[in-house]
Amino acid sequence: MILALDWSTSPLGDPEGWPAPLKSVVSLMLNSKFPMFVAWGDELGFLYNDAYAPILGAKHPAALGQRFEEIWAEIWPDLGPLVDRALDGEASWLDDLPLTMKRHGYDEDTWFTFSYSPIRDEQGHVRGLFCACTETTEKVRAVRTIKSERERLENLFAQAPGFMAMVSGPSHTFELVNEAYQRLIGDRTLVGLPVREALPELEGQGFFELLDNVYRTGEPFVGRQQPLLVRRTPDGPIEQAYLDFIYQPVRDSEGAVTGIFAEGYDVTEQSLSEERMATHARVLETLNQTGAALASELDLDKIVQRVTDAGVALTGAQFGAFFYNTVDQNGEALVLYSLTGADRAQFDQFGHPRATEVFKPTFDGTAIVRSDDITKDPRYGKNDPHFGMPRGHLPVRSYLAVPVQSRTEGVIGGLFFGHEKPGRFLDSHVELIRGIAAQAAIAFDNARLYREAQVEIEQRKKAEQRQSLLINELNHRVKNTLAIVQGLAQQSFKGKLPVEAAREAFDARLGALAAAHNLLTRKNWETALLSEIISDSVSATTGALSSRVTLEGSEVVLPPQTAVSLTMAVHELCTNAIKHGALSNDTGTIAVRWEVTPGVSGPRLYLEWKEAGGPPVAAPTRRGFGSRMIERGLAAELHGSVTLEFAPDGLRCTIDAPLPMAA
Amino acid sequence: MALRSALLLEDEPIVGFALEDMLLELGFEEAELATTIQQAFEYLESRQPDVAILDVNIHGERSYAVATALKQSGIPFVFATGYGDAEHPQSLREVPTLTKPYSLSDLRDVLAAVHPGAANED
Repeated sequence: MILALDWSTSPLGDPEGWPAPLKSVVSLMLNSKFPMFVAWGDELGFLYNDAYAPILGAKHPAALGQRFEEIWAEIWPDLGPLVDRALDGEASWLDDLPLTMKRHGYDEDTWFTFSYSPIRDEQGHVRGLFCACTETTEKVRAVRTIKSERERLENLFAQAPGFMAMVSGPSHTFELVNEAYQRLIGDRTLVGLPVREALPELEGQGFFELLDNVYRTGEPFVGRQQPLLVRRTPDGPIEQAYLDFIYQPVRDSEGAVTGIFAEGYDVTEQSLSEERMATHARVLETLNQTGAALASELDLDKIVQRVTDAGVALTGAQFGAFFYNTVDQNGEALVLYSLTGADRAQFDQFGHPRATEVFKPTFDGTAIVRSDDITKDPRYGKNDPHFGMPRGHLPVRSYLAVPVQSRTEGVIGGLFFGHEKPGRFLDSHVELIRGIAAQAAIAFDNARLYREAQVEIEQRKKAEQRQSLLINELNHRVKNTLAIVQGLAQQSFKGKLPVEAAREAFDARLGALAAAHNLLTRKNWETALLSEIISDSVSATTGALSSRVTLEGSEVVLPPQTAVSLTMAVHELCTNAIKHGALSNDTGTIAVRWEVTPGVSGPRLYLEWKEAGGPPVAAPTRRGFGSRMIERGLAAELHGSVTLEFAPDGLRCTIDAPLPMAA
Repeated sequence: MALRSALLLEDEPIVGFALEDMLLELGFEEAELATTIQQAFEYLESRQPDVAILDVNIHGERSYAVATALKQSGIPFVFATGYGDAEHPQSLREVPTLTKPYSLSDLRDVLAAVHPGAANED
């Protein structure tokens, strides 16, 4: 190619005239397969070999023999200084120099690695330069692609939402961790530290053992919602976290495990919210069940037990108790009523809790008392006899007491919950127990209303029974009285008396019967006094004439059933006295005397009715109702003897009978 | 076979007298009035009436003991009571009951029921 060129236009002139050093360099160049060029002479005429031609692009073959500066005019600002240095006798080496060439009609980013070496003539003056070069554009591009790919991956790694860490070696030394991993364990220094040293709080939670296992077996491990107690900030508290993760073994070219890639997600929020949802559902379920059960329960013991059970279930307490609010002789005390989680005997030995400062707000219903540690509460331990918890008491640190307050009865009692560990009861528990206590109070009110209603129904039933008995008794008495009236009528009207006289007698007998009934009603049908029976009957029959009848005797109480017969007998005696005896004139008198004397078989009543001052007495020709009533009726009633003696100076009637015993 | 004798157990003499009169009117020759349960038993020790009429409530006591004795002796009897809804013991449930106050014809009918031919003579 060089030989074929018309050298007349080249600043180099005909090759025949070239100096020896140029000739030898060109010869070397033309024989090389490595891209090379030579620039010679004052105008730096450009000679190059076939391997260089692709670098020139469209500039080839016109470039051959032309001036260096003109050929590469677009990159001369870059090349010029290097060319000057070479012409000053100083070689240079450039690695991946970026050059923006225009060799295919457009600007093109290219990279070259090359050296410029000065070429001297026979006299030792630098007359030109030699360049061996290679275009590294593709290599540079490839490296750049790899680099950006790597950066992209590094970014992905660093900013991945999931946490990632690379540990190596049998002690799992951190090589890489991303931001998410740093967030997970607080901003602690990890890289370069073995995992046991970097995260000491994980000891005993199983993670180190898992890593050991993956490293030893080469089997990956996948964990789902693994609980983890970890510090989220360097000095912060240990917190509960949950992780989804995978431990993936990393192997070398021989397949041996050299490390472990850990990747996963912090699912704490999700897990906690699932847990909260589950807790919430359980709470709702318990509340619902308790509410429904209480609404239908009327047995106080069962209400109390259900409420206590529900409280324990909702608060996670170890033991719960309901104490009834009752007042004893020493003031107020709470009485144990139901227990959950403890034995009744464990409480019985301590007697009733007193209204100490700890218990008082519950007794009074003034406040809910919640303490993370009751033994450290300022109200605790101030009172006799125990100054704190009695020996052998259930171990209580966490304490929660909620009054159960009825709308109508004030404080019914209190719900108490305890746990031997401190800080177990939260605000949410207080709210739940407050709700339970309100439900319980309503149930109590319902049960009380029910109980009162039952008592009322029972009382009403008894009243109705009594009333029914009374009505029955009244019916009986009315019918008996009607039978007596019937008997009086039958005997008043059966004889030969004129109707007028018979009716008069009947009316008078009815009047006497009414008097007897008045007396009995006055005495409530319980007892009657002998004197009252006689005087009432005398008054009813004789009216104003009764002043001529004198009664004398000690008080004798008679059973009520004798009253009717005695009244009727006295009535008949009075009637006879008015018609034929002592009361038939203006001067006669009647003396009634009685006495009670002790007899062989009990006391006896002796009574005498003695008339005096009346007209002479003749024995009646006909015995009527009066005689029958007195002699038979009264005798039968009194189980004694009754005699009528029609003595000429006055009728005499005597009764000798065992003293009837009043009930 | 006319009925001639009767035992009356009635603690209210006025009512007893009226019953006595009714029985005499119905042709009885003898009507013994007992006003206590004891008297009724005393009478039954020596006599066997053709029929008996027993007031149920005698001074607060039931006359069922007398009724049982009569039943065992085969003497027909009826109850008389002011209690409208009196419930007699099972063994005495079939005994007819006169409800006070009762009329002569009530008495005749009930006696006829326990002793056919009682009141159809003359």
